Amino acid sequence: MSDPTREQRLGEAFVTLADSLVAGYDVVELMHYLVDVSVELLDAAAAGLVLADGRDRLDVLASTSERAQLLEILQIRTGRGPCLECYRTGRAVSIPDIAAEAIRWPQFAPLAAEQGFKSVHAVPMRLRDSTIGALNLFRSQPGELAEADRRAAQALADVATIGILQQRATQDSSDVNENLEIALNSRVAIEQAKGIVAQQGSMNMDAAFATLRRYAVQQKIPLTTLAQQLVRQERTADDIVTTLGSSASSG
Amino acid sequence: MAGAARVGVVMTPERVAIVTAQREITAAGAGVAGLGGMCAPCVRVLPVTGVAISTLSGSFASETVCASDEVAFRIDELQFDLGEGPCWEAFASRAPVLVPDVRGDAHPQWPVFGDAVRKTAAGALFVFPLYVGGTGIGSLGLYRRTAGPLTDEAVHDAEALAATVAKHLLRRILAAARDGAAPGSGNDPWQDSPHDRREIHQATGIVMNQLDLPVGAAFARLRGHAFANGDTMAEVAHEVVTRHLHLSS
Repeated sequence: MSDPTREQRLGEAFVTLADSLVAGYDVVELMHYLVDVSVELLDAAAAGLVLADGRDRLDVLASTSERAQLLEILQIRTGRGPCLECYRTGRAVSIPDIAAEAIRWPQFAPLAAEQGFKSVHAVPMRLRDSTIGALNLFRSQPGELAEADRRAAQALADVATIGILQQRATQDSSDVNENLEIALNSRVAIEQAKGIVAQQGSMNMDAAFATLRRYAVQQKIPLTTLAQQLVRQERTADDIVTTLGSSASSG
Repeated sequence: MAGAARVGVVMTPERVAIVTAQREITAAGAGVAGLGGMCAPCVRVLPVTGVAISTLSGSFASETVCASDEVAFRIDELQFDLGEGPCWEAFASRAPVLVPDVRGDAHPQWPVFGDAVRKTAAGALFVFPLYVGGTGIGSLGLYRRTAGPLTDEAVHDAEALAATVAKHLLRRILAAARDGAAPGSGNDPWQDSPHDRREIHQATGIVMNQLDLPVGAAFARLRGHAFANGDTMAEVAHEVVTRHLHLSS
């Protein structure tokens, strides 16, 4: 009886998911955790998670096995299957006997059988009117997923959905574009600034870099900002070299 | 939307190979080492000779993240040096640029690169843009020694791999920026790239200071000198940084 009960472990899973909402976290890691914990705690042989980007295109974000991954890819490619239906309608889709759906899904049903899956339960990742994906539980025996498991699966998906939407809200694409631009260009600006200072002070690149860093610290400005000012010719290298050049070359 | 004929395709060993390659790209992107591991899975599963993954931004901050061989790197370098070519076209149009016959076809969109690339071992070029939603990161450049088109299936596979590369490359660059990774430091995504263009940027700075030019003009001077002498920009930059070459006003 020392083993934690399933309810305790489910509780821990919620805490882990909820914690990840607060701190800076990685969506991909969160999705992997979600599928892993679903298979561990719920009556499922495999789990897969599909998520839509801003333009309604779905992608498999995480899966617990190659078999589940293949089934998700098939559904995205053909645009048909229980997970796709769940995503489109925003409602849970329960298929207790996949083999009976061969006419409805002529591609999904045989492939699922080939992979050894007899039933599937898909829950939407939805907050109010916005459905962003679906969590899919594949089972190796036919039949409905038990009510308690269905509720638990939806609750896990709900917590993860809030996390993803929060992250998207704080990090919209213009923000990403700007950060990427800064990340790529700051490296370049620092190298260019090294060249400017090296030429101004007749020093090598290492000494030029040391000079730049020392000046940035002394002036209390970020190194990237200093570099960009030099590159935009808003600041001359003269000041930097006359202030620090001798100490850099002698030190 | 794929038809029923697609189903058999989904289960082929090739399809499993694509998924495996995506996993490996993800692992390379998540690793603490450089991103060199992103190229090999692409070469293995696509019907091409070589692969280069590059970041593209403005005209200066373009860099080869990894290249599977020297030809792939050279194709990238030519496009960066010349400022034209299919990687720029794919990046701007957000669509693949497929060049099944490098030597046979005329390439009015990029005449100088079209000319230069004929001297490499590439017979065909296939370039895919790297985008995550609306955010453009760079390009996935594929070349094959022999001319000929890429099958629809291979185009589809390359697009899938490009999406995976884009996602993890973007994540890595942003994470490095957030953590304040200094160039060359432990978590700099380019740390073990043998293809970095740092000397070109350093030489640009030297020329700016020497000739009192704005950054774009200094870069253009280096580019012009390289073009006029049939050298690469990296070669010219090395000469400038080591003080063997002084560009005159």
